[in-house]
This record gives sequence, structure tokens and C-alpha cells, in this order.
Amino acid sequence: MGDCDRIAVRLCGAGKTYPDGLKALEPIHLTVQAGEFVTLIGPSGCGKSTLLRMVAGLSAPAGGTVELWTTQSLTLEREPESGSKADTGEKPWVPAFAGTTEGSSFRRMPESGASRTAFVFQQPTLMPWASVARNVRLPLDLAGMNAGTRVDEALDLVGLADFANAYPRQLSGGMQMRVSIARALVIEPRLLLMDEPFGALDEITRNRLDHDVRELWARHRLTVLFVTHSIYEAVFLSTRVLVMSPRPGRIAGELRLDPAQPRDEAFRQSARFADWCNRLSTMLASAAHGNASA
Amino acid sequence: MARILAPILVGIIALAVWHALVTLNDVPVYLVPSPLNVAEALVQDRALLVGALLVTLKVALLALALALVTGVLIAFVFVQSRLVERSLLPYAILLQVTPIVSIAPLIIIWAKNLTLALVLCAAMAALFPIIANTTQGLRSVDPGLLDLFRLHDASRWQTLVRLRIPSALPYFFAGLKVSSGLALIGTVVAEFVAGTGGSRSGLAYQILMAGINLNMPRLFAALFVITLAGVALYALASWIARLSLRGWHESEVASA
Ligand SMILES: Nc1ncnc2c1ncn2[C@@H]1O[C@H](COP(=O)(O)OP(=O)(O)O)[C@@H](O)[C@H]1O
Ligand SMILES: [Mg+2]
Repeated sequence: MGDCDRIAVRLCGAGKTYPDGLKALEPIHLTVQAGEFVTLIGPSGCGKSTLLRMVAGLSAPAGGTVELWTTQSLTLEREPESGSKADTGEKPWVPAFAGTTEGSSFRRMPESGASRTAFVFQQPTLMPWASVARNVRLPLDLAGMNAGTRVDEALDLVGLADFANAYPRQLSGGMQMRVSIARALVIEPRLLLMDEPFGALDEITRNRLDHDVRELWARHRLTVLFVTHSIYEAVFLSTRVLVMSPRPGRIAGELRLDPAQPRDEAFRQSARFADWCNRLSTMLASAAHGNASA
Repeated sequence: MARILAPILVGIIALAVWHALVTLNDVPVYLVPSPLNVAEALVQDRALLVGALLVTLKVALLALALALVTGVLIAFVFVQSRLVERSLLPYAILLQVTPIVSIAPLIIIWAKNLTLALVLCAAMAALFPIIANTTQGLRSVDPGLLDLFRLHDASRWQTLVRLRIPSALPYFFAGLKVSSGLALIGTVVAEFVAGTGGSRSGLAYQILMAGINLNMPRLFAALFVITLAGVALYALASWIARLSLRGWHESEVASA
């Protein structure tokens, strides 16, 4: 299998000008490999959401192409994170959902033709009239798929197993965001798009959810495209950070972060974390300046 | 507690003042009856009044049902496209601003069956809030949820049933509450227009006859029954709304 088989997302000159004439994005060239955790960071209004929506197919690019390899043909050859995992490269994207055994029905999902791209929005975006469980199973319902035990497993993953029958308004903001994440995970996504998902939360909750997302990514070998304007969040989570310039947005810089570095509380305190934050901060400043002088 | 007690207290004071003014000034019963005269009439004429109430309520409820079905259907047509809404909305508004009294005679002449004519008049009076509210509700869907449905390739039908209709429910019920009162008012107005030559049965007919006979206590009693029916209809609509929205919608959660 060639290198191309591991590409998850490719944008070739995909730009965006809104109908009102506002140029939100310069033509973007970007390739995301399967299994990467890529974070977009940049000032408000630089087109991060626009870019993510183009990748999700919610917004058509003005010129250029957006390609996704999120169908079944995608196989992942990345090494397992821990030696204890028996998964090998042969297995196509085995769902490592907790408690799921071999031969689980998850693997049939690609044949159903269901979308394998999940989007977590800045707001929890839950249906207030539906219970947590019914919110989580929505993507399966829409695709006409049998939920089986998937909803319970997804809720288990985000630590909300006991809240399946609760209604969104009964949950805190952080818990609602977890429901939103469970809903994204229930389709066992190939590609997870997250647009400032924790921007509205307090820092303690945000740190905890960042930790959880990072764990999920490692466990399920997801490909994640994440948007934030927090330098700390970007450094904590990512294997690669893309720095965007002010509007019209373009990718002004790239910072690759050692994927082998464990991301835990100790990491937050480490000199390496501070160093990476400083470098990112410098890049952001020069991206902003570069645009202003241009 | 104060929410219930305060208005009751105001009512009792008003009745007492009314009673005092009438008795102190020796106002004749055929001009203004005292609350006691009215209460007496309520008890004495209860068979007559309840019979009339049932006739009026039947028409009002039929009209409300008709307005509901038609209004919701029209709202569904409206949200299909902006063009459709723009072309038809002025006529819906026209219907709304035309006084029911002015078209009731026409409808009563045209419709062969009097009950049908009354139902049509009352439904016309109750229609607009259902159209306007349901249309707004069907449109005011969380754009994030719309994106989510698009992302997962939801069909038009799925989006309608799983997203637009549930989103529209609170708006629809707000319209229902308004329309329940309008349906009753429309019924009574149409009954008045139909006059004494018509149905000889509804509450409006009783009021007309009582007026002609200068039977003021009965007139006031009939008026009281109409008011009561209006409140009951509104309470019924609110109760249905609360039942359907309980648990998820803020307007009902807060008051629960
Ligand atoms: N639907 C739209 N129509 C017109 N302009 C838009 C639309 N969506 C976003 N924009 C504009 O495009 C620019 C980029 O927006 P966005 O992608 O949301 O930025 P970010 O997510 O980086 O804050 C902003 O100036 C915004 O006002
Ligand atoms: Mg944004």
C-alpha cells in the first residue's frame, strides 16, 4: 500500500469567498494523514470554522478541491500506541470501543454507506426534546442503522452511562459537550472534526475534556482536525499545529509536536510544554504581523 | 400562592363594590343586576344556560380543530419556499384583518347548514395565529442541528419529522393558546350575526333574547358562562401544551 492510502484529508487550493463578497480563506493546500491530530489555531474570524465546514461538506469551496478518504478503503497502518494492543495493520480500523469483542457489528458500518465524518460543534447542539440516549443514536437513526449496544458503549466512553435517560437541560455544560462527543463517536468516525468544542467551558472542565479527547484519539486511532484559539489546548492535544493568519486566512506556519510525548498532567507542568507554547505563541505573533505588513 | 390568591381577592373586592353600588343607589334590576341576582339566574336557568353553552362549545371546538388542521397544512406549504410564503402571506393577513362580523353574513347566506357556517366563521377567526406561529416554528430550527442533519445525509422527510416539527411545537402551542380564545369569540360573533332567526340555541342567542326581554340577570349569567368557557378553553390548550412540552421546553419547565 502506498503512502496515499494513509491520507485522510486533502485540500488542493480550496478557498472560500462568501456570497456577500467577503474573502474568508485564501486557497488552502493541506494534507492530513490518517491518525494525525491536527489543530488549527488563529485569531477569531480567520476562517477556521469555514475550513472545517468545507472539510465536512457543509460549505462548498470556491475553487479547488476537498478530498476525503474516509470510506472503507482506508486502512490504518499506524503502530499501536501501547504494546499491549494486539491490533495489527491488517485490520481495517477496528473499533476499540470498550468492551466490544471481536466480530462486533461495528465493522459492518462502512457497507451501510453511512457518513463516517463526525463533527463536534462549539455548542453541544443537542435536541432538547430528546433524551441523551436518543440524541446519541441520532446519526444511526438517520442512516437507518440498528443501534444495538453502540449507544451504551459510546456513553460509557464519555463517562455518562448513568445519564442515558436524562434530558440535555438536566446536564451541565461539560456533560452536554460529552454527549455531543458520544454522538460523534457512535458512528465510529474515520474523521473527527471539532470546532472549538470546549471554548465555552471553564478551564478545569476543558482540561479534563482535552485529556479525554486525547485518550479517545489514541485508543481509537482517529484522525482529528481540531480548532481552537487556545495555545495551551493546541500544544496539549496535537501532533501537528497549523497557525493561521488573520483574514483572509491562510496557513502561515506549522509546528510538529513529538507524537510519542505522553500528554498528561505532568506534561502540562513540563519545560517542554512551556517551550512548545512559547514557539507557538511566537509563530502566532509573526503570522498576525506578517499579514498586517503585507 | 400569591399568584392564585391575589386575583381571587381582586375579584371578590370588585364583586363587593359592584354589589354595594347597586344596592346603595337602588339601581333597578332591569338596568344593572347585583351579583346576587346574577348568581340566582345562574342557578335558576342552569339547564338553559348549560344547553346553550354546549351548543356554542361544540361549534368553537369544531372551529378550533378546523383551524388547527388548515393552519398547520398552510404553514407546511409556506415553509417549502420563501416564494410561496411571500405570494400567499398577504392573503393570510387579509383574512386576519377582515372583521369576522363583516363576512359572517355572507358565509351564513352561502353555507346551507347553519352550524357549518358558524364553524367556518369561527375557524377563520382562529386561523391566523396557527399559521403564523407554526410557520415561524418550522423555520426557527437550530442551525447547528440543521448542519448535523446535513452532515449525516438526512433526507428532507427525516429533517421535517425529527427536527422541524419538534422545533416548531412550542411555537405551535403558543398559537393554539391564542386561537382557542379566538375560536370562541368567533363563534359568539357569528351567532350574534345569525341572530334570533337562526339557531335559537347558542349562548349569543340567549344573550340577544335576554336583552330583548330586559332579563338582565340572565344576560349577565350568559356572559359569565361565555367568559368561563373562554378561560376553560385556554386552560385546556395550556394543559395540552404543558403535557407535550414537559421535560424539555423552557417555557414549560420554568413554570412547572
Ligand atoms: N455564512 C457566512 N456568510 C458570510 N460571511 C461569513 C459566513 N460565515 C463566516 N463568515 C465570515 O467569514 C470569516 C471567517 O469566519 P469563520 O470561519 O467563522 O472564522 P473563525 O472560525 O476562524 O472565527 C469571518 O469574517 C466571518 O464573519
Ligand atoms: Mg469559528
